[in-house]
Amino acid sequence: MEETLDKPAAFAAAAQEHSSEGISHEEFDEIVRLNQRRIYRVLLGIVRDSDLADTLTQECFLRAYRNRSRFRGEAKVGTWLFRIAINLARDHLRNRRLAFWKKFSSSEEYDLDLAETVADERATPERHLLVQEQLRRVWQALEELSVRQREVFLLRFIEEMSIEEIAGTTRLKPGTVKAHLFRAMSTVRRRVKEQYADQAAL
Amino acid sequence: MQTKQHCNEDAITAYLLGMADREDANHVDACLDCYARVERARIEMEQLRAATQNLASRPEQFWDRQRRAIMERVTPVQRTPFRRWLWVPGVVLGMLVLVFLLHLLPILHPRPEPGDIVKTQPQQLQQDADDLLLVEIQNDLQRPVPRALEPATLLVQARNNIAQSNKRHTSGGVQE
Repeated sequence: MEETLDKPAAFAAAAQEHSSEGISHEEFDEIVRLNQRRIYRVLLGIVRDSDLADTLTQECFLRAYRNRSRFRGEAKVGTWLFRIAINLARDHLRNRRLAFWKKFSSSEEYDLDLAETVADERATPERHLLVQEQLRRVWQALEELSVRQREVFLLRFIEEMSIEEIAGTTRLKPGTVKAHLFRAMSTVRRRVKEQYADQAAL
Repeated sequence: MQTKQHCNEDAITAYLLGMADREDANHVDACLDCYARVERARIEMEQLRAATQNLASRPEQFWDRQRRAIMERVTPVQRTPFRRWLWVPGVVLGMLVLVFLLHLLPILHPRPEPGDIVKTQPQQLQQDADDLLLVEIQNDLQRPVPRALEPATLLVQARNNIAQSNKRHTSGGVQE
């Protein structure tokens, strides 16, 4: 079981108890260690590029560190970090929307690259095939979603956040989150169902 | 007892999200088929979640490298108390070095005594030029005629010579 990130103590302490510059190297290292996997996972789901997700994850923590004095401890550290990560991903996609879609919207090469990246860690050919299949399913399911829907969907079903947490992270109203979530969920379910149907037909 | 037809996909999705209206919720709870559909959808979502986590899983070295990269970029920004007070001894040390150098300079480069003046190259050249000028003036003073009047002296001398030779001719002719 992955360690949870609901540990605002270090950051809240840095923001409230210590001076604004007083967060120690060790405290921040601990925050990075506890949160980096989830931040990376969500960023990877949004931008669908492992190198870019890595870069944005690093940028997210840097931005958090620079703005640590703004963290008031009202939200969880994880929510705050997700907010930064999502803003970074949005900025990036906004700036590179054309290039992004040109590169990834219909690229099978990218899927294969990713599959190889992941498959490196897994020895057997069966495992490799399984990972490839899973990836294909995930990517195709997420492909039809808008960026906003993807964010909401990933936060809900991959990171298991509540509607309120998602609303806090994305700065949307809970009703809007629900609407996005409903549309995203319908699309993904339809897509996954089609894929299973295709598989069954084969 | 089923009070309505089976739920459509939207109703199943809404149920899964906890957004179904009361009528649909009651139906799903009562209808085995619809309940099975909800469970299947739940499993699908779970598979999707597992696949995404699979996709984002990386070896421990990846996370270590990423964390190190973050901490390396954070470190130069961090201003430790040590650095804040470091400038005070730095300035003191700098001043000490300056004082030491000011004291050391006369020892390394001692001021020359008045007797043994070592001339620099430009000074030597100036001295040579002055000497030459003095020699020239001395020579000029020793001349019987100033240099500027030399052409006039030559003219006068030539005229005198001519006059003298004419006089000699005249006196010679009278004697014959």
